[in-house]
Amino acid sequence: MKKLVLYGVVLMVCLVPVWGADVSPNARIAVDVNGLVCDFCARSLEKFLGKQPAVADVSVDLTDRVIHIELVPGEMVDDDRLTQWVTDAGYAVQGIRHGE
Amino acid sequence: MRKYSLVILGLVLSVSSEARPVSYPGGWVSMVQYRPDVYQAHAHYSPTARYSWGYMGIQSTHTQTSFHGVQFHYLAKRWNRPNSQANVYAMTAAGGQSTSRARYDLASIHGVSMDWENRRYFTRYTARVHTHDGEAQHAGRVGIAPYIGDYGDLHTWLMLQVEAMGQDTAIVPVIRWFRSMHLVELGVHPNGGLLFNWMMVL
Repeated sequence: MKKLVLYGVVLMVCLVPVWGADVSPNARIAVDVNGLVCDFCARSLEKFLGKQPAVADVSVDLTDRVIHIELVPGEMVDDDRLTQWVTDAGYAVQGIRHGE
Repeated sequence: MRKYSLVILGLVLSVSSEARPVSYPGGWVSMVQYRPDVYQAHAHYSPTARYSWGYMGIQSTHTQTSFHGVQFHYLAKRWNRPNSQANVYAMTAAGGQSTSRARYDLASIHGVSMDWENRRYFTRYTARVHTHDGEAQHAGRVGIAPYIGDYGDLHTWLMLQVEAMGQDTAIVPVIRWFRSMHLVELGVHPNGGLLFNWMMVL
């Protein structure tokens, strides 16, 4: 019986990553970007961010001037690093919102 | 038909075709341009978002002369505003200009370019000087987007470019389309010939 309970606990611990497979709120980040006025030019920002190992997906919203970033599960990126990425790509960060 | 020296015409061409002088870090840009009697090709690499370097080639089928050289663009200043962007670029190119089939002279080109745009309007001014003969060229371009597309749509711009060189002035209407990483321009040269530009960002 004790072995059964132990196996069950071990099984539950191993399955937690699977149960938590939905993207956690912290893996989604919305970055308000200044200078985002041209689709052709914004492609560069999308490509540059997409090359970062921690980034799983990037989408651009020209109307609201927002870059939506989805991180690779388990990855974390702080605001300073995000700002540096956007600045390195030639744009300016107006604000960062996590979980959106 | 107005007669331009190869390099002067080439300068004007490069003025009109530099829609993306500097790309994203690690990005490549390739561009070809066709006018009735001049072909032009560019390819440049951007190690950072501040500068690029690459190749510039111009071939005149009218005069059977050419220019081949290395070009360098530098983003001197950029203003990123919530609803607009403005840029100032400096450029220089150096290479060989053929004056006959068997001879190349050293030649260099220097210039500045500044632009402002939002999602509806576009403006750009460019000035270039060719050190070979001291000729200065100026070009101004204005554009308007008849509709504002979303990210991923086919975007269209209606543009008018005024090119000035000495006492000569040309007005060139251009239609620009771009989608994803491709940009195409079609225009009508003052002498009635078609203009075609194609640009791709990698």
